[in-house]
Amino acid sequence: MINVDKFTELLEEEFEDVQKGTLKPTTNYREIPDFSSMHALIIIAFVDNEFDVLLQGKDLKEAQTFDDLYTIVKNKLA
Amino acid sequence: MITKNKIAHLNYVSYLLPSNIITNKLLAERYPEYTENQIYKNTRINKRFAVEKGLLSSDFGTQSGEKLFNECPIKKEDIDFLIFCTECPDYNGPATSCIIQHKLGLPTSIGTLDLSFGCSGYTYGLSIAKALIESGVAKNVLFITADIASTFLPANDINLNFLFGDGASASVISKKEIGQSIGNFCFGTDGSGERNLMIRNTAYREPKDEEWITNPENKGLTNGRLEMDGVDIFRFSIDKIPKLTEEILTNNDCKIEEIDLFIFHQASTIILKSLKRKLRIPDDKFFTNLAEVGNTISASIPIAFVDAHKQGKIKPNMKILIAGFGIGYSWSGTIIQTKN
Repeated sequence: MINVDKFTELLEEEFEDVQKGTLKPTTNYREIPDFSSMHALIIIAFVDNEFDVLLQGKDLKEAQTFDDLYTIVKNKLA
Repeated sequence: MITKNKIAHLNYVSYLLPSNIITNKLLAERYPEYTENQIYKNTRINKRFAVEKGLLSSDFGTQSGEKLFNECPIKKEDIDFLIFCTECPDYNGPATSCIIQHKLGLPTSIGTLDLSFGCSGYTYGLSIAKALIESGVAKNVLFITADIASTFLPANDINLNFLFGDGASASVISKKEIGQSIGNFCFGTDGSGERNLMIRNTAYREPKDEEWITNPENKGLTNGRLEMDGVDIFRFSIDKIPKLTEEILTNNDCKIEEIDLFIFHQASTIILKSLKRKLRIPDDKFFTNLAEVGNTISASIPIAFVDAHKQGKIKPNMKILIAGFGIGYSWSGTIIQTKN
């Protein structure tokens, strides 16, 4: 599996309004500018597409940062 | 050859949208915490439509049927079966299809049937129409859909109000080949999704009791309240519909590259975009008109089909994969092939 930096970088590319290099693994994903439910769906779609892992609503609720999201995906793949 | 029993044909398709246009400007006035631009950015929808208050699905469905008879060379007396799909029937009984038979002036000798399958309703209804034709029960099936989301959208659920619009359609399915042949169907059902997309307080399980009357969320609602768990619906869609697509292809002896056009239920931009990406469908083979009508529930596939036709995207000898999915959960689809 890719590392957390690459994970964050690839996910950042999915968000149209986020400038490249803005998001870090330690960023709280809910602090993306104009964060909405749409961003949560984009995260689910990205993880499904890249890792064939279908995140649940509770996974998103539990995670704070991109690092947390990465760990959840990694654990599901283990 | 894409079907094993290619004897039912989707000959005519027509649709009807109400005259009230719900623009992003209008929604931004109603929900001042959002700008027009933000509404568009969140939904990629420019406008939706809403019927006049008080119009029932039997009225809307009848109007859609009349429009088809005005536009297409088929007479009311040629129809021997009517299927009506809606999430907002006039009554629990009688069936709204009976009321439409009378309002539309169809022969009293016809059979009728109501369907309640929401966003998978069009493909479900088409499969029943095909079965009625192929079994010899009927020669010409009129299949009407009419969904009036505006009657059950709670004002406090902004996302639902941004997404859904009213729409109706009418199709004629016959043995005689005039239009598209209808292929083999695939289905899926998972009732564990019952509460993830539902119209509450519409029947026996949750009658309109005192709680309903006093709940401020129900202000302005008379026919139940739509509730949707957006995350679960999204997960369901991106999990099941690629699998459904593969099953449809297999069941019709077809490869994905042989499909000329994909018309999925116009659920939401993010769902459509994710399905397109997951199935690696090229832009020119993926039709969407969500931006101009919103999610019209059971009418979305026929509206998209007619719009694709108007835009010159449907040509002779094309294979078009159609798939509906949503409430239930339920999902279904087939391949239709245009004439040579």
